[in-house]
Amino acid sequence: MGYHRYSNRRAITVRKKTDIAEGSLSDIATKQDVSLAEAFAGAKRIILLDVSGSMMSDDVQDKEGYWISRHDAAEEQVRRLQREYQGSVALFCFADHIVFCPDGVPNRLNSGTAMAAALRYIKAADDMGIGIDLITDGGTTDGESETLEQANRFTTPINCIYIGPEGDPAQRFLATLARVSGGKYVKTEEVGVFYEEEKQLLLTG
Amino acid sequence: MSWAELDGDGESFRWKTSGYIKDLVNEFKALVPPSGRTWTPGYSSGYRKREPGYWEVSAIYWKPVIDLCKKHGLQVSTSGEVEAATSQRHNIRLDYMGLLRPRDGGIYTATGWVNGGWNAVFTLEVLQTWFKFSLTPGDMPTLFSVIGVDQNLEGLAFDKALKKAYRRAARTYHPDINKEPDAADNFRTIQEAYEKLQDPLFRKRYKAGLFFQKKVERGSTVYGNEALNWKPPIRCGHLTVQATLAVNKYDIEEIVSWTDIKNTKGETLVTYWSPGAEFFKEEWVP
Repeated sequence: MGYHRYSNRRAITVRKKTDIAEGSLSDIATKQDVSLAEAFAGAKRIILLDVSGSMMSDDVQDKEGYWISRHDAAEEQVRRLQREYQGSVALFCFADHIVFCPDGVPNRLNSGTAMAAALRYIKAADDMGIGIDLITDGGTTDGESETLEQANRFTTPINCIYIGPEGDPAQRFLATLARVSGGKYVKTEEVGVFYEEEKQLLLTG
Repeated sequence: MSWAELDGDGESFRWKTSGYIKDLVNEFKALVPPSGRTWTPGYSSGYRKREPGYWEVSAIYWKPVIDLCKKHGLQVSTSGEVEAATSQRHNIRLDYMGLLRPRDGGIYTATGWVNGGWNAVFTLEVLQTWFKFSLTPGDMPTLFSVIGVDQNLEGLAFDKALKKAYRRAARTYHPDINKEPDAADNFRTIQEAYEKLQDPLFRKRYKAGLFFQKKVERGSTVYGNEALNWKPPIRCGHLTVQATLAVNKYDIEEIVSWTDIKNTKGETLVTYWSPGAEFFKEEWVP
């Protein structure tokens, strides 16, 4: 990955319009000459990634000790997961609205964290043996009770992975959300922790 | 001054003009679908006086065509009478149905060989309703649509419908019978779709995948072409249709039933169009 450094921060990578992550659903669909829907049917986990503005905070340390944004950290690990577990990850990104990202690359940042709306959208994939992992750094702009109510409707447990600094009140809310749906709560301040957690979830189902 | 003549004859009328007016003809084609018009070319040879060609048009377009001619400044004269055809149930024998293609005005239709001519017109909506698929140009065909099975059915009803639809589609595209260049590919696609759709969990996940796939923006890596990627899983049969019969053509509004064509030996008819052939071919399959 070719990026230059200034100070102790990485430059934001400029993405090509046709960027398709290796092992993403689009990549698999193209290689196997099947539709995205068929590629989706083979996925093992849905990653619901928060791409709101706060994800631009440079407070995650990479393995070389450089500070990078939460968004870049998440993107790097999502790419790695897709590369190593080809066709296993269905990526959805949300901020003020949610989008399916079959190319496996998180989309542009937006304002708002419409978490309840995002959960409502992916309800179509509930109860079919595909795990759900919510990766976020904050609370919900849809209201906590509304979001918890949506989470409570899921048969599939929703694992919540918190990415951000210690002590944020969002942690408590995410822990509750995970508990309500029968999922796991994980916090991560380092890039590798997030990857290892996801890897375990992919391996154990 | 340019003129137009309309000669009514019951359920249709003949329409001709003093000369070719490009804009008028284009607007006419947009107004009247192919099922409602037939062009008969004129002639001009040797000592014989030139006879202009004419359109045979369904009676329901009598007034709109007059208005169109007037809009283009033509002097209009009429003769005879028209009586608009009404929609009725008809039993037809469809010998071959072509592919859905975009026609004038951007609508997609497939024509069918009925009563010795291309006399049946199926719109995309009619075929979508009967074969239970929902595709727009640029969409990839779904596993359900290649077989022609209703994805909204559940459980045993789905299993039963899947088997029946698979047998028909596989018979239509079996490479030993069908000599179309892509018949083997189609057959393999049908077989793969059948194998996958038999698994209820796969079906459930795939339907969720279809839901999400619909939302993906066009122009991504997987999508991009504007063709309507759908082939009829069956090409012939005895059909009961709700249709308007005008200018000897069935403008089909609804397919009510569709059964196989069988001979006295109990064999089933399969029709296909092989490359380079001038006409479709028929095969009787046990």
